[in-house]
Amino acid sequence: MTSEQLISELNVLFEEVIDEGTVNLTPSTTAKEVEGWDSLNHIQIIAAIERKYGFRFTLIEIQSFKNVGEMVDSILSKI
Amino acid sequence: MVFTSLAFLVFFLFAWAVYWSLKSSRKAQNVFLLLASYFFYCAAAIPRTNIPKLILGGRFSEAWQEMTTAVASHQTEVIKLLLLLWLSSTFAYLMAKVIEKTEKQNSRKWLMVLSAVVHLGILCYFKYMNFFAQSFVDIANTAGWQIAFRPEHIILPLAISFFTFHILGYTFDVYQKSYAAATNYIDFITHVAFFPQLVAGPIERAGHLLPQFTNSRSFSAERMEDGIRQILWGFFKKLVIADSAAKYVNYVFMQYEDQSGSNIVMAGIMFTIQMYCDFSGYSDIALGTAKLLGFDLLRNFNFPFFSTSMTDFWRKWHISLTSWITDYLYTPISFQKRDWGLWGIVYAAIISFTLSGLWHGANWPSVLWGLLHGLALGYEVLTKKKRKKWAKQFNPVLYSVLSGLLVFMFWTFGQLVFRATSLEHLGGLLAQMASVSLFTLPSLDHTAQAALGWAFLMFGIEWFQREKEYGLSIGNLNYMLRWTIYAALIVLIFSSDNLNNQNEFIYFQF
Repeated sequence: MTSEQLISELNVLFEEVIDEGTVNLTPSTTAKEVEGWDSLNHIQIIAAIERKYGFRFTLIEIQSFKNVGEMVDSILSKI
Repeated sequence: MVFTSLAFLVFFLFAWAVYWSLKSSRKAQNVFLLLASYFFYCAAAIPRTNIPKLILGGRFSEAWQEMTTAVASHQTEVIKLLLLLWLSSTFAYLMAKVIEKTEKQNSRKWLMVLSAVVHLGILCYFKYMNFFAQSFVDIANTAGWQIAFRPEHIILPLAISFFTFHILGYTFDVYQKSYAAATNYIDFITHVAFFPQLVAGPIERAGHLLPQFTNSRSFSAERMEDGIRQILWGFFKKLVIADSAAKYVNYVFMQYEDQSGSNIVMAGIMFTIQMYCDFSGYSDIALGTAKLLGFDLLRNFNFPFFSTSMTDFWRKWHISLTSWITDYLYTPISFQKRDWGLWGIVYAAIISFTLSGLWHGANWPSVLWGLLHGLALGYEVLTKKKRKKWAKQFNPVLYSVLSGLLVFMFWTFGQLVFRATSLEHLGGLLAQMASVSLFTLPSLDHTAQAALGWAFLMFGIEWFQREKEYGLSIGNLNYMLRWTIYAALIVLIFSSDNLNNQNEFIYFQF
């Protein structure tokens, strides 16, 4: 899977979890730029990604993501 | 040394002048800030003296003599305070270095745990030992075991809750590799002790404050005016509103058995106003003071009373503590329980807020206050979708106003719990409130009426300024108008009766 394909799948997943309308993720997108991507939703997003792709993140990994690009790289290295 | 005292004014004027005269050497500035911060911290152990007045009167030798006498007579307390701060920050500095150099993840984890246990152990000894022991004895006695307990007399060292969290945050960041361990010892211990934030926060993050110590600071007149303006706004909130509201609040809460239900409700509202003006006022003074030295501290308040949910409120109230708890408590707990879905988030919110209550005070009302807020957040998490549907059925402005009112009422009820000195006191307050006298007009004396009036004005100004950094962010106004507002505020502050009264800030006790 390419980063672009993964990002477009994540767009759908984010929209389902956050439920605040359309989400347009890019590799440089940060949590602050997405309405509703707060600390309450962050863990739900992480859990939804783990369920969809069948792997587990570590706490250190999820706290080190600075933007969507870093999250995508981490997911691609696990699937 | 309270920010609103003459002693602090004299200390700061001297510190500011020396600090900027050392502008050519960043290292000299940092060493001076370290000495000034340790002096500021030690001054907490010394009761009020005539030193500031003597200095202002030019009687320097007498001031020096009085200072040496005061230090000598409180030598033990001064040394204890200094040692605690110095050893805590030195231990954190060394442990972070060791954690960073250790490669094996398991060893890193145990080193981090060791560091956390030491720092939390010190905090527990000073802050919670008597509370835990007394609670255990109470439970044991209720269960029929007769245990005699005499609480040990332990003085809570000033600022310990704040610098312990500051240091712990740094240790966790280094462990998680989100921040590199500090390389310069002096810069590190200075950033922990930095006096504008030492006593009651904002709880700084090393990643935000430490780089400011490793870079040069520039002096600008505009920045100085901004700092003074923010200090002025803090003084207005603390001296004109909070300290005046405190008189009514203290009276009603102490003599609650003679008060009508409506007076108790009014005291709850006044305490809400007092607490906000006291703590956000303190934070404004801290941020303004740091600006005068060329530093930026973390924003601690973002007009919380214009929130439409408790989740939103907590993002805007004591932001530095909320974000600390979110990063190091709530996120790890909710991550661990992520398979529980929304209930995992509710569980994490309840645990995090209950512990936050305990951080605020070693007593059951504080724990109950934290639990209440955890439950409120849990409720909001579980009903988020439903509330979104309700919102669509209402006029958006009306819905926002009603939600804001509900937030204010819930917060005020929480403040009644928070302000109670014990569960018995809380029970007494609630029983007194639940009577026919709840429907009478509350009686407010002249001072309380004035505090309420100024609070309305303050909230009005903050509403118009809600997109700005703080209520008095008026750098864009013309010179004449700006200085007229400053002059009016100075007159108000000096006519408030509360200047130099040494009324401590509420958060100093935590």
